[in-house]
Amino acid sequence: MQTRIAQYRKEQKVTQEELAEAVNVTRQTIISLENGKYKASLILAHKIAQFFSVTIEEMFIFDREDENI
Amino acid sequence: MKIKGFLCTTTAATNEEYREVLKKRNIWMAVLALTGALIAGSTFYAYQSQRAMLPEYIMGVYCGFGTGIFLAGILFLIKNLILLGNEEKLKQSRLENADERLDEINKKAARTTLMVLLIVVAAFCMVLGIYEPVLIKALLFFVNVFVFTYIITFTYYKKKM
Repeated sequence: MQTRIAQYRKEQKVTQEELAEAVNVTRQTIISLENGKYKASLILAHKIAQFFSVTIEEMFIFDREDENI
Repeated sequence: MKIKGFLCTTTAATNEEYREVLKKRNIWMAVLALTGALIAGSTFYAYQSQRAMLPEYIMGVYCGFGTGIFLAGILFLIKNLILLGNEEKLKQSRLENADERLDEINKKAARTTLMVLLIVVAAFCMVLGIYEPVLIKALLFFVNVFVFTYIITFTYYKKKM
């Protein structure tokens, strides 16, 4: 799953460490999310979207593979 | 279930909440260390006083098992006490314990380990069971425990979710 975390983070000048702390995960999880290696749970996706004041759809890019279509 | 707090990850969102979790875990660690000390101590006493009818090798295994549990309890207790005294390390530990990715990695690793363990134990018992029939009985026992536990836990989580 692709995300726009890195893009929003750079726009709002937030470090991976600060974001990780705000959403209660490790920095490595933020790195994995940004690299598309890990799919966030709905709760984490909601927390991240809320942190940047955007919707989940704006933050996470769902493709057909993710939706098992 | 109280044991959950001891074995599983936490949802503590602040250092204060996590501090309480660690304090509860420390009680479990003290119980663990005490249990280990009791096992090792009683085995050692039985060996010294020559009251036990068990072979020396088995007594050594019991003593080692007890010592292992005791040391694990003590080490985790010390680790938790160090964490409680250091705000930065406490935060790092909290994030690692609450991290959903690490939780998922743990679950996947545990699932794979269980499957490998089952295959190895089954193969081991089937081959060596030819020479030692008690191993076949042990295999059947483990299979029964596995199936029984799986049914119970599956039913529990099915109702819960």
